[in-house]
Amino acid sequence: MFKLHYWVSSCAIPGQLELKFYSTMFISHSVSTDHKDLIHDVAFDHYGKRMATCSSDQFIKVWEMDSENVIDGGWKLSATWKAHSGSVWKVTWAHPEFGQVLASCSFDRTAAVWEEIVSEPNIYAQTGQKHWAKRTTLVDSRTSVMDIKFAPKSMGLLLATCSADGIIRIYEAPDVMNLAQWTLQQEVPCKYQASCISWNPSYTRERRCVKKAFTKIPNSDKKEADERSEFDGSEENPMKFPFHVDKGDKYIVIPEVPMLAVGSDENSSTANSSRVVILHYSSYVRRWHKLDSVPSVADPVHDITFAPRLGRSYDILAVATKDIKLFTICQLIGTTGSSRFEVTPFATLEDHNSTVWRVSWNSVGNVLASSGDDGCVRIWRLNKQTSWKCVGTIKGDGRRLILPEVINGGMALAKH
Amino acid sequence: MVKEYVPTLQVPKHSDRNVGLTFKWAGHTGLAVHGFKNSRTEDGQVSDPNADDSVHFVCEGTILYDPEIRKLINESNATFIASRTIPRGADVRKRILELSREHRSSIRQCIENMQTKMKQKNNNMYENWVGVLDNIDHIWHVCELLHLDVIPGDIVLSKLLEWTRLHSSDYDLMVSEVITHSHTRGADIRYPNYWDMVIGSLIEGRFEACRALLRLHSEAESNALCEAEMLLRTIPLYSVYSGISVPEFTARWRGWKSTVRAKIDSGLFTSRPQLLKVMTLIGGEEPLYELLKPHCSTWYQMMTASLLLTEQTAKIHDLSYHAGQCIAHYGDPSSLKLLDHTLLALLDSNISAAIKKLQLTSDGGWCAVHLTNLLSLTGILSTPQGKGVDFEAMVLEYGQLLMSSQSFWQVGLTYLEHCRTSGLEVMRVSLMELPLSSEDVALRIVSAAKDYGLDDVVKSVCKIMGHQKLERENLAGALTWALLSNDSEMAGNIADKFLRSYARGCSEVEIGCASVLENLGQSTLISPRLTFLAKYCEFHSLYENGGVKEAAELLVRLLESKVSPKYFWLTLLSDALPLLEHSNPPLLSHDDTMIILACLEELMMDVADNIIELPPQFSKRTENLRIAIARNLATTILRESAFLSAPHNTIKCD
Amino acid sequence: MDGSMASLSSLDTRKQYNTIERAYVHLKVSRARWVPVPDGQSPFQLVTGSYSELNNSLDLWTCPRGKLDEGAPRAVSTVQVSGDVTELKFIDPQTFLASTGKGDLLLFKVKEELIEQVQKWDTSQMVCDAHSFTGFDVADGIVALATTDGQIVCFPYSDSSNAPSNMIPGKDGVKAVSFIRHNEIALGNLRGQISIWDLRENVFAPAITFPYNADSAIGVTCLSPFPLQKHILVASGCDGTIATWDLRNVTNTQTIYAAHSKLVTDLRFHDMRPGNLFTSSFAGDVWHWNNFDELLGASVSTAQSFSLGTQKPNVLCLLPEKKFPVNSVDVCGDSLVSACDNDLLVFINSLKLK
Repeated sequence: MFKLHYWVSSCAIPGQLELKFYSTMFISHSVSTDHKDLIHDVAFDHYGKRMATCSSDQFIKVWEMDSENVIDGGWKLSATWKAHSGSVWKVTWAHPEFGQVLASCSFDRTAAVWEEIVSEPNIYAQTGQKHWAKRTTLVDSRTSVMDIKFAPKSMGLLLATCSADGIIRIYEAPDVMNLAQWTLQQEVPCKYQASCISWNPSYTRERRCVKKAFTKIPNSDKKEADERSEFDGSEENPMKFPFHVDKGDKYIVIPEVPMLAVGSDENSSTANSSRVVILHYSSYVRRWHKLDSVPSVADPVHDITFAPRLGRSYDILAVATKDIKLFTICQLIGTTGSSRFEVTPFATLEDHNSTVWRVSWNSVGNVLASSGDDGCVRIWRLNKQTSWKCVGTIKGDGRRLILPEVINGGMALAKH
Repeated sequence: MVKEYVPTLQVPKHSDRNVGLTFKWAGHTGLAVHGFKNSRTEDGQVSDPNADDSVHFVCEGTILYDPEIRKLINESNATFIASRTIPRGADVRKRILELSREHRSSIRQCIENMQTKMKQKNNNMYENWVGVLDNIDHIWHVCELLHLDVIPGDIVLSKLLEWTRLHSSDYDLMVSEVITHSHTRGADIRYPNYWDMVIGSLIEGRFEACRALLRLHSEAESNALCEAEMLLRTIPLYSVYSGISVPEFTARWRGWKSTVRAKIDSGLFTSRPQLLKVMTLIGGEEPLYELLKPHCSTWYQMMTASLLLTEQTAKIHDLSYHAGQCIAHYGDPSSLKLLDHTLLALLDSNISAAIKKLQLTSDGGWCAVHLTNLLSLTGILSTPQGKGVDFEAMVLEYGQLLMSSQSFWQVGLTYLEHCRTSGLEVMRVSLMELPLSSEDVALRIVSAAKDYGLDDVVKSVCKIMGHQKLERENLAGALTWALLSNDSEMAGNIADKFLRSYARGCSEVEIGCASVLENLGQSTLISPRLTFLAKYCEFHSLYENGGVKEAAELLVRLLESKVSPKYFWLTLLSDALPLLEHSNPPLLSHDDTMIILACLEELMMDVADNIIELPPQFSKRTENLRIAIARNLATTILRESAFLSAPHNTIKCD
Repeated sequence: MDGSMASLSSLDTRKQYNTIERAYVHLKVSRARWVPVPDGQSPFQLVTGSYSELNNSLDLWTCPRGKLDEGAPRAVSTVQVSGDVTELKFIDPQTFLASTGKGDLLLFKVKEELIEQVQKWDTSQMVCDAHSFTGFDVADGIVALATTDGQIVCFPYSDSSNAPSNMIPGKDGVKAVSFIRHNEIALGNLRGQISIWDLRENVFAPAITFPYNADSAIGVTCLSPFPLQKHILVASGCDGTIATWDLRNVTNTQTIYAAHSKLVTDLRFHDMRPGNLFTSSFAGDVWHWNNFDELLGASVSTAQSFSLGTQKPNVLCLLPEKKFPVNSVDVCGDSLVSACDNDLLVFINSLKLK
């Protein structure tokens, strides 16, 4: 999606017919939410069929998509309730394997978990009435809870929150059938006020990825590697092995490490270390540890998000700060058994030319979207496996944009 | 380098007022955009009661929901699958060519259907599409002729003629009408564009038609026309299979040309300027572009014509030069359109450039994927001409597009299965994102996921279905889905729910557990808790059907093995109460009763230690139990000791 | 249970009919049914029901035999419905019933080239939970309708009073529902439990229950009595098998045929020659069993001399396995129509019936 398109123009008589160029992006519809204050977050469920909105008006609203309903593009309000006693910053859906579950965090220093209940159908109500019940309130924070995220489902029912005082909390519901019971697994203090948090995606299958050039490849892996290269063409794909490797270095990349990335929007000039903290989970001691080798991000960070994995053996992290920074993260284990993490910056996207507020990947991780102080939402696509290209802009600041008359993108005569 | 254009969309009615825009991905098909502000007050609040309260949905146009395009997508998918399953030992080239023709016939069919639709509905809804598909067909055809087919000796003229004839049918229909319907001379008088038809036939290499037209001229008997017809009849045509070598042909060609020029020079045609033009065209050594131009609507038509009349033995790698020559007569290169660039790249045998241009077509990648697929099967992509084409990425993207739709996800899978690097992962993600709108759809997704060995998708889908059932309090339905994926954890959770209903004091009639678990065979073994539940149900049915003795035995075994969850012990013990009260003869032996007593003691301790929650009416129920246990112990001690003390005269009671 | 497993060694997948015609339509078809014609004539119209579409519909197509090249089948009439079409059955040559996944049961008339809704039941008056229907069966003017949550409601379709005549209050999914006789109904679910209910007596407990497969829970997808001997029950399973029982003695008379490789989606006996059975599956294949009556011993059967599994099934593979599930199969005269998941309708003419 989000590609440039051209109607291939007919050129029976060249010069007579104009190239019809257009972008197929369009606003399909707008939903008036009737929130009484700023909307802070919009969250879609796993299928994109339900939407939750939260606002400074302290309410959460849940919307349902019914494609047969033509009003508002099918979005229908299904529930609205006062969820907190302060601005609700974020709202997020749990994986549907855990049922219809929402978590929210607020300025009122709490986070909450909500579950949709269907009362049993009876003779009076044909289909059961639904409502959202508060299952738990997480009150450990002494400051505003800035962000909340569910862990990938393979880790179980876990929540991570981060607060304005910089404390990261990881909660677990040990019994997935009982959403009322949450235990605080760990608290990790960070230096600065936290603004955003992200889990790295889950690993569904153990697969050791091997750096071809340097490592002795076990037989089974070799076969896989050979099969893969056949279809790729002969060209070495730089996105597959983007890490810096010293000559003679023999490392195997281990993909299955749960990680949490936290960003800080601390603005004070006294703060001089990185605004990005990455935690990794050590399954031996069952604790989260800070990664020490994170390259410094010196400006306030407003959003942080891991890309979906697909077949890659490493993670990609997008950081929204004064521009968009992309990092790769992988764990390397040497032949001696020593292991280390490597976080490598590999791209900076600067088109916003201003503070970036949000970064987000599509579900398969080949499109990145961002919003910034330039009033734009920008859409980026991976171009030729290495560079990211802005392929779309959504403007809202009232300025009228004029389509360029002459479009030259890729239309020059092919010369060899 | 001109700065590339980035398409921009304006959110309507969005007032700025220091409020920016932010967004979330809405499913996998679009973005939800809403107002946003981050300037906090001193205390960290953000507020703006006048902010825009709307969420705007940004989508992209999709090819997927048009009924006509849908047929094309499905038809070409069948061809794609066939192309990926060419049996070993088959003539691959021949098969590729057949499949290419299949694709093109689908395109033509689609265009025809669209035209019929437009006629029926009297609108131009498909006008853009017909244009796009027409061009695709055009490109596809030349690609098929030049790069999918084998060209003997690399001599391309016959291929190019075939191509232009099919796509510039301006005069064809008219010519054939004139020829078949006119039996008398004077066609030049009846048809004002007679000479256009003659030249049109000539430059397409339809010499028979050309001569037939000449014979219909009102003065066909005249010397000039007879001579012209004769010359056309003897025009040498090169063919690789004719057995004539190129130099030999060239000599013959030159000889024939000089004959033509000699006739022209003799003034034979001078009085007939139109005929003279025809003769000049065929007699020229060098291409006469200026003469050709009025008769060629495109540069490539001109190129074919000029090759036909002057350079029949041109090889494929000469085309680039000839194309350049002709383009010069159609304005400057900057006025070339996407179609021209694509054709040029194909004539130039620059496959990768051609594919890149094709990808810009607004067909959702449809054409680029299918044409590149056939090209890749010929092996051309691993030659320098096709270097740099990331075919897998194209297939992946097209597959992803299809997977995003509830109508096409199965079609999408057939593409993704050919993407070795990330096909499976995209399948995994996309399959799990398909809405489970019904049981039937879920079964299909499970079946497809099993085909590709995506066990985690199977498990996840079944879990979600199970959860949907649980939300409706349909435990039986939930269990069905747990069994379908052999999910022991979920089966255990459901068994727990049943047990808790029993523990709450619900009756079997209310719970209906027995009928749910009936006849499940080995399946109840997937979870220990479920196995226990099944045993417990068995106890109930034994008891109800009069097998009191067996029921009692089973209950004691269940207590003794301690497989039951603690919260359920009181229920089991309470179930033992009526059995304990059976006194004549007692159903439970002394040992059995001791087991029951031990369980009761353990339960009392746990309750006292707050390990388990205090069940309702706990003391009253346990008190009754104690009394019953005591009575039963008394009875059994007496009876059993009676046996022990009198071992010599054992009387079998039963 | 003492079941016997018959092998299908005689299955000859190479044998295929020559007259297979394919037509892509523009929707995912869950059910395709011929509009019935008198015996001896060729059907020329069919009705399809769609599913998984943004807007689902029932469509009437004209499709004269051998005219596929000329633009047939041609959609002549369309009615939008709410939700997936889950079942579609003709009850007489002009009338059909359709159920949807959004809780509608609809009665239509086919009038020349038009389908016209005759009746729409207010099912919420009949069952507690009418939000979705998985299917229905019709016999002797009575409809037995199954909800997703397992309730069965029976009522005469000629009666618009909304008064159910019978009801089985379930709280469990039902995948297959079929009348056996006027007052007897068979239900099957995805846990492989089959139950036979006698509507005249007790609707709170089934008359008989037995498993589809005694060893493990294999879901039941279709149920049908053998048309010539209503006491023979034929069922198909999620694992692609076909099974038969004599309901007079279910414990000792089961025969399982290891047939398709995946879930069986439809099971249909020929109206006039019930010895011919047609089955379709998720694996994309369609089978023609042309001696099913002999398998059941129908030619010699009396209550005493009944024997199962003595004959080898004679199966022709009409369509081979492919990537897309076949959703339905219907036969009228010697014409068969199947609907596949890639928007494809397959027509097979000149069936060789026994």
